[in-house]
Amino acid sequence: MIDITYYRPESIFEVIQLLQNTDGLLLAGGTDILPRIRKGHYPVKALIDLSRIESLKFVQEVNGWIEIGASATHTMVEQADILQKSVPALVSASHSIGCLQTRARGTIGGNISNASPAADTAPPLLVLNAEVVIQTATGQNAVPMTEFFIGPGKSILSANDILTSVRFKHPLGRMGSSFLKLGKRKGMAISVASVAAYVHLDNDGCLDEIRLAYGSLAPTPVRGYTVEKNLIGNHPTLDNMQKAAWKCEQDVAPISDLRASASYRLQAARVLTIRALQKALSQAEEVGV
Amino acid sequence: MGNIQVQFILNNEKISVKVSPGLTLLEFLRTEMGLTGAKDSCGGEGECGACTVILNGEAVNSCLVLIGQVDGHSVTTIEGLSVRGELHPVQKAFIEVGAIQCGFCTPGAVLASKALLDHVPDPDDDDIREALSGNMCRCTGYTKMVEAVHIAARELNNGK
Amino acid sequence: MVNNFQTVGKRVIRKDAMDKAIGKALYTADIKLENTLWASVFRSTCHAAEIINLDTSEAEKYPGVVKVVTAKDIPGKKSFGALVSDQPALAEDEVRHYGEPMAMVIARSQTTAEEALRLIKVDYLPLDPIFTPKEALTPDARQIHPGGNLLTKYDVENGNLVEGFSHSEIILEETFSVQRISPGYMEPENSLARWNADDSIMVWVSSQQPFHDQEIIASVLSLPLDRVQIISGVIGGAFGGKEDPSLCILAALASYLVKGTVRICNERKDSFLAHPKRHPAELSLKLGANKDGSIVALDAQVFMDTGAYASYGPAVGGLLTETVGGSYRIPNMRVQTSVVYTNSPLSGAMRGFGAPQSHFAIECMMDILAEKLGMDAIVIRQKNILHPGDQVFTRVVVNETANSLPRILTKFEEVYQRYSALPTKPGRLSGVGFACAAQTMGLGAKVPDSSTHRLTWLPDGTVRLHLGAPELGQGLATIAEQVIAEKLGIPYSLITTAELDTKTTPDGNVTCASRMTYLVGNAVSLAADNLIEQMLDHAIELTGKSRQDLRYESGYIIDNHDQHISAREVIAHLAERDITLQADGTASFPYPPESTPQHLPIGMPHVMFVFGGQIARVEVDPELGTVEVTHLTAIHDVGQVINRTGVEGQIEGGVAMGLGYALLEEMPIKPNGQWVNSFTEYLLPTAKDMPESLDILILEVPEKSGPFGAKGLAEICLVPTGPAIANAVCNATGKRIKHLPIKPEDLL
Repeated sequence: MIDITYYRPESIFEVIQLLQNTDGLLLAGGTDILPRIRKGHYPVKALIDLSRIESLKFVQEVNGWIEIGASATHTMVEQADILQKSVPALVSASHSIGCLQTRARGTIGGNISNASPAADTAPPLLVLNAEVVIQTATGQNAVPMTEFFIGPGKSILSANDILTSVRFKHPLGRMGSSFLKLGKRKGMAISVASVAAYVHLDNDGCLDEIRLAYGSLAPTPVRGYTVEKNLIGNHPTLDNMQKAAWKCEQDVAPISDLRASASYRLQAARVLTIRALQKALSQAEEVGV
Repeated sequence: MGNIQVQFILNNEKISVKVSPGLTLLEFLRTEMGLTGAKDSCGGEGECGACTVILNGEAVNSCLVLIGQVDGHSVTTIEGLSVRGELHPVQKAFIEVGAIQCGFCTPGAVLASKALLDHVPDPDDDDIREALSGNMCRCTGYTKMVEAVHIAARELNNGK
Repeated sequence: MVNNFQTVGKRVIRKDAMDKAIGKALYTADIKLENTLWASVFRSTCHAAEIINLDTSEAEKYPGVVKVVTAKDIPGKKSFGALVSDQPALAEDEVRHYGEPMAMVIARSQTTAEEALRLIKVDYLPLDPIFTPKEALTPDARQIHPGGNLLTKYDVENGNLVEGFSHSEIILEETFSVQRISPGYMEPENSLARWNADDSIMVWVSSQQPFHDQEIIASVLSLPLDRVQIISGVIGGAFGGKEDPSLCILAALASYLVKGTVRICNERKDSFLAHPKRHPAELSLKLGANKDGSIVALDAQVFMDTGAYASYGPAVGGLLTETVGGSYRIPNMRVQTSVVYTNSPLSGAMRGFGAPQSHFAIECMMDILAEKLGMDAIVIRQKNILHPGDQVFTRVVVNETANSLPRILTKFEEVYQRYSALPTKPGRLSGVGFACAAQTMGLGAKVPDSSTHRLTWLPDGTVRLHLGAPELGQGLATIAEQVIAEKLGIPYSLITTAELDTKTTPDGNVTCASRMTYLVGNAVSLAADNLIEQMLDHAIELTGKSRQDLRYESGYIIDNHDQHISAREVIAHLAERDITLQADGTASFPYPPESTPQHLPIGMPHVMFVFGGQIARVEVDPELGTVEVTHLTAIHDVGQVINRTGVEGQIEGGVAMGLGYALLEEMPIKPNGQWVNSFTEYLLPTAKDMPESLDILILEVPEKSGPFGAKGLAEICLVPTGPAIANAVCNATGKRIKHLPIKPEDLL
């Protein structure tokens, strides 16, 4: 049993009030924070349980934007038709998290808010140019994902704010996306390194859009700007991709820990960059010119 | 820390209790309800699946659910799986093929398998392994569990 | 071999499966008693330190706390240990490993006990911790125990090593190392104890040896043995790890001190830190052979990290020493094994008991030798394997069950062809590797290892088995019931097994050492024979026939005119006269002095062997170094199969455990100075990590002295897995990895 005060707000408005008036921490799926609270990692006095706020549980498309409510579980994301068709990167990232039990509880909002460098949904959202929608006491802000993370476990989200959704433009045309994760075992894997790729091809088969992002390879999930720069406008030949992937070391800053050494992570980043690009390209190439 | 009122359906019966909000569903089941089929093996980290129950049709780790989070929902534990003494086909198959050794992981593995078959009536080996990957077992090597889920799937499909 | 068994060799459904499947099986933590208090353990946060002061006064005052217990409260013996009494029940002057128990808070609830733990203050004088045997054995190393850091040293030699090497045409030297791993049973250690009004104590515990727990508790509480009663709950796996007392000493101590009922449970982290592991070891082998591949000499130096306390370290060291030569005939051989104290988490008994370590070394060495000589790795094994009549290096002669070894190698050839022909996924490297194994059965010479079990023929016609050694989940009760049913010629459904209770059950000794099928099977066979004799004696009276005109067959007494009386009628008749048919059977391992070498220390030698082999196919991603075991065939000689389902299940579980040993599991110290202590960091294989294809081939070379020709199986199931995978990885990549676990980084 944990020693906490517990709030069950019914609306976002109530959540905002509780955030201002208590020292409560938001509880979404609980798959991450409950073990941490139990281990004493968080000195938590109160929890604000979001489970009654149905309005945070959705996956929808409006005006060419796909928006996912913060309380959408990983299971909801991996099973949403629109995501399966248009953003396989995000679907496979959600699918790669933990096991059925954790995916049924864990939420996309929780995964991002915790700001773990290993948050699996972050790299795909980064390559989708997603925005994070944050509700504050004074209003709603949309912040680009690229500005959201500021350090391991740290984001721009202040203690009084709540992340309510993530959204991105519905990708269309000759595009593809992918997510590859390397864990230490096949089941219940925590990422040692992960890469997401998004590509768009022009009529000549050149890359007119390319974005890469990395998980567990830096203090936060990061974009692969250097690799992108080396590929944009070019034909995605294996040679071009290999040369570009080699430069990912300028984008990542891996550390050595229990799961892997920094040098292994860098090698994995290079290999996964190429493979993720190939996978995204194969999806893009299926779409006719 | 005040107690909270929680109402939910537990094994097909409506219950309404006043409990401490710091209790996990696992702790509530074991200590308040005497339902000890769900086990704690990993220490409340969601790493072993021994505490698996079915919440609104989905397998979840009851150690990672606070009791307040089940308010208004429906929970099935291993004790509620068999209907009027009739074993669920997954239970029957686990028994028959020898998927049970020490048995500590069995309630969780049975419920994870049941939840799988509710969603995927005709799973292949990969589906089953995926569904069981959150349920650690140190005795069986999972082989006979996978076999049992196939057998249960066949039985459930034949019954339709 | 044709036999007409009714129950033996068949697939039967274990009788505890139903309760386990519906959640009604009561493990110790599920047993509910009135007014149960909770005890939480205060554990060391130093790896090594002198305890200057332990202040429990604030915790004592905390509302809801009943008592805080320290070593001073122990009425009897303050330390325990199966082989060396070196482990304090609660540390008093010094802590020797992280997580060592120092005090215990007994409170009205778990939450209160845990909150009060935070109020205990301790002043440590930290000492420099020692984490490796080599460090511990340096001349100026701090002495972890008064007797020094070398717990046990074995130096066993057979033949003439110097001459052996001088005649060798090729000499190889390699060093191998294997890691510390956790038994990882799903049920963490826990115990419940109740003080009775008549000043006796009842203790429920998840334990491999309740009778040993009974003795320890009696000595710690300074109580006569008959005042300590141990009851075994349903056990959620043990794998050797529950040979050491599983919190029952502390539960009993708490119960004794408050004269009440107390529960104590380890969380997984406590289990990791303070309960025994498999020994990490470093093995340096020098192998001499001729160019035709025949081994001439082997010299081995072994260092084992036994951690802070002895536990079963000396015995594990002994068995490791005995098995260094694996399944091979090696005429000149020496093994020097040092079992060394460190400040690491303690190591003790775990499935394999030294053989997983030794086999990783010798089975990799066989492949290295084959490669150096340009020989086939199966052929080189064929040249050297033990045959019936051969001596192993303890001078024990192996019996005819060694006939299974050439059959295993023949299977390797077939499976190798099949596996090698499989298509490899694009971009992957595939390889096939195999390993043989020889595991001993029993506790070894000069160690009392007899086991007694009781049968009672009840008036309802059922036979009640009082199994004297616990069922751990592996299916021991089931095979015992099958043997009884077969012996008595009655249905398996008529045999039931009682809960193990030291008050009502005879002493069956410890469940371990791949010995139970053999011992329990033999013991209940004797008891069944005895029951039949008793019944025939009574039938004389009942029928007026003479003894030679009566025989027993399949539940009936039959006379010379083919008149039948059912056993049930006889029993019912006897019941009216208050006569119960009951018999104990005792079995032990044969250590005949004339054939058991006597020159060795206690626990050596073992005289009976189980043989097996496994062949694995792996695919390696050469860019990422990841290894996938795609196929594995496990070939094991079990003698006569008793329960086919159980045999398969035990092998499948063993392969999973062996795969974890090979590729995933390790318990290192982290950069923050703490040990890995959770399933988040200690990775057990999941269902997805198992090979896509796992085949099991069961050989049944009968062990004539075993029940219906059966012998043991439990431990060997995982012994060849590690080296088979390492050999397959080498076959795929050309990289010889000489340590476990094999990590992706090793292969880049």
